[in-house]
Amino acid sequence: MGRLTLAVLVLITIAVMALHTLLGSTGWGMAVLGDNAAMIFYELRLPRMLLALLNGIALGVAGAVLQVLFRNPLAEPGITGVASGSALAVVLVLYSGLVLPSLWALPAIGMLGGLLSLIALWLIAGGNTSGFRLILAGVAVASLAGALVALVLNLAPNPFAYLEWSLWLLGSVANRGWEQVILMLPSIVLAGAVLYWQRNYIDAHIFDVATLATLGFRQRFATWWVLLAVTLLISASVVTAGVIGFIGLLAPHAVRLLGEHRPIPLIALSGLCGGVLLVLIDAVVKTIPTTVELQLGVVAAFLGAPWLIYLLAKQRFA
Amino acid sequence: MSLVCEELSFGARLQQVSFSAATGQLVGIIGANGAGKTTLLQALTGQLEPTAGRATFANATIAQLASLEQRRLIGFLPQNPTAHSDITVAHFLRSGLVNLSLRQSPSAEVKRVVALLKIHDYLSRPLTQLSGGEQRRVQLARALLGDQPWLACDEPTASLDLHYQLHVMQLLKSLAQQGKIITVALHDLSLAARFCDQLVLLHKGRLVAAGEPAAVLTDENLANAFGISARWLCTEQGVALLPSLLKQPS
Repeated sequence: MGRLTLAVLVLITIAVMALHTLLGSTGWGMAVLGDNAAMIFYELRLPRMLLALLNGIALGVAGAVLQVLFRNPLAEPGITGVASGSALAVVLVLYSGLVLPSLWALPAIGMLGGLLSLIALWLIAGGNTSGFRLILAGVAVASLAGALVALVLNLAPNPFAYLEWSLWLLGSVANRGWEQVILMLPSIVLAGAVLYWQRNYIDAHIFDVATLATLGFRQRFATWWVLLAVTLLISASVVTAGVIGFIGLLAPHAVRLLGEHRPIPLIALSGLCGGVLLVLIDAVVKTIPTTVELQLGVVAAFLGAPWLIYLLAKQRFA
Repeated sequence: MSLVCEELSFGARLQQVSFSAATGQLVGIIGANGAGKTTLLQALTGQLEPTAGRATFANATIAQLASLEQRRLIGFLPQNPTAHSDITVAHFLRSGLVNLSLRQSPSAEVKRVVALLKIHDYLSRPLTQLSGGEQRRVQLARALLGDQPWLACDEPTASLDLHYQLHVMQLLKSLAQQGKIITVALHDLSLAARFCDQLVLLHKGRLVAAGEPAAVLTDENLANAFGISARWLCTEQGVALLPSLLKQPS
């Protein structure tokens, strides 16, 4: 990809970020907000935009890494079961009605749920990190966690709790604040550092399994570090914004359409692309007038599912 | 430096195979389908952990070396490496430099192997869009990166046309003569007889014979290992084998 394309992409990102903060349910621009403009901007709009951006980055990067690692263009965060595990942990805490000691407890438990899913994945896959077994194990973990989440919803104590949890599961960045942004930032930095550390190993996945085995890597060690970083990204996203599907699938393919196939630039640009996409989708969510605000995850899925069908059809007729 | 293979075994697939080779030798591993050629190459180079016996290179036991040390000792070309990503040949070769200790700059090293395999025209093309034989040459170029003292290739001439079969065998021969040990699994017995200094003949995971081609490719061994009889054509360019099926393969 040329420098010009990159520059255009960065400009689009900035424009979309500005568009999102200037759009609101009351109309366009800051003037319509009146005396509370500054407060609304800093306490509501800015954190919401940043949270959408950071979630998009996390999901875009996680999706691209999984696609490269499994050599499978249809891999996305959902298939590892990490998102479902994280969601299950959070729903269980809400169900138990535990009074948590601090603001950070719920996110920490969500991440623990994601981590436990990863360990379950490891045990089921038998430490085998090559494509198929791991993906099948991921599907198994995701299905189990999904069924347990449904069970908890089924047993919800009252209709209000049921509605609240269901809406949260659909994925949204509305009515969040700086705490969620502050939780996302270090997760992305830490995961990014791990991925950067393992960049040579990730890049070497352009080679087939047999060749990669001869390139001098400690494969198991490296694979699980990379998966740990991906888990951190996905869990952080789930605890701050619920389950947002398809961005992890859409972003890397958008970057491939721009002609970038090298793993490391693909992953970095997928982060950027995921961020732009999610901020853009949330801007749409904010401005569509509905009685109950649409959930970000629903709109993302509306865009993502046709894309997935298109990819499958293209693969079939290629 | 020498390569010593002592009673190397891997389950039932490879049983007590022994031979040795010295620097400068091109060693051909031959045998029928399923005879254990690939298993022998993998057990030799440490990709499979031998269940018994051992392989040593320059007195170091290969299976005990860390994967990074194995990498710097052995260049390896697997049997069927598949291309699955739309990256260019140039990036493919660049990435193939990973974990090597180079004596020259990365770009000079890439240029060296590009010249050896004559793949300059493909550099800016996606690997997946090349033909099978073109991809094979790119994969072989990738295996030559790093100029390791030992090169192991699993059927380097597979899917190559006659021109490049000869080109690759001559290249391997000259690389061996410049001071490497090269072990290749081969299907083509004519190429094996013509270019290899030593042949290792396997049958059902066991060693039938190892030594100079003339001593290994005897009528009896060919009948036992391949179920063929053979006539030999000997010319100034080299030898070629004209096989015919035995009526009752043993």
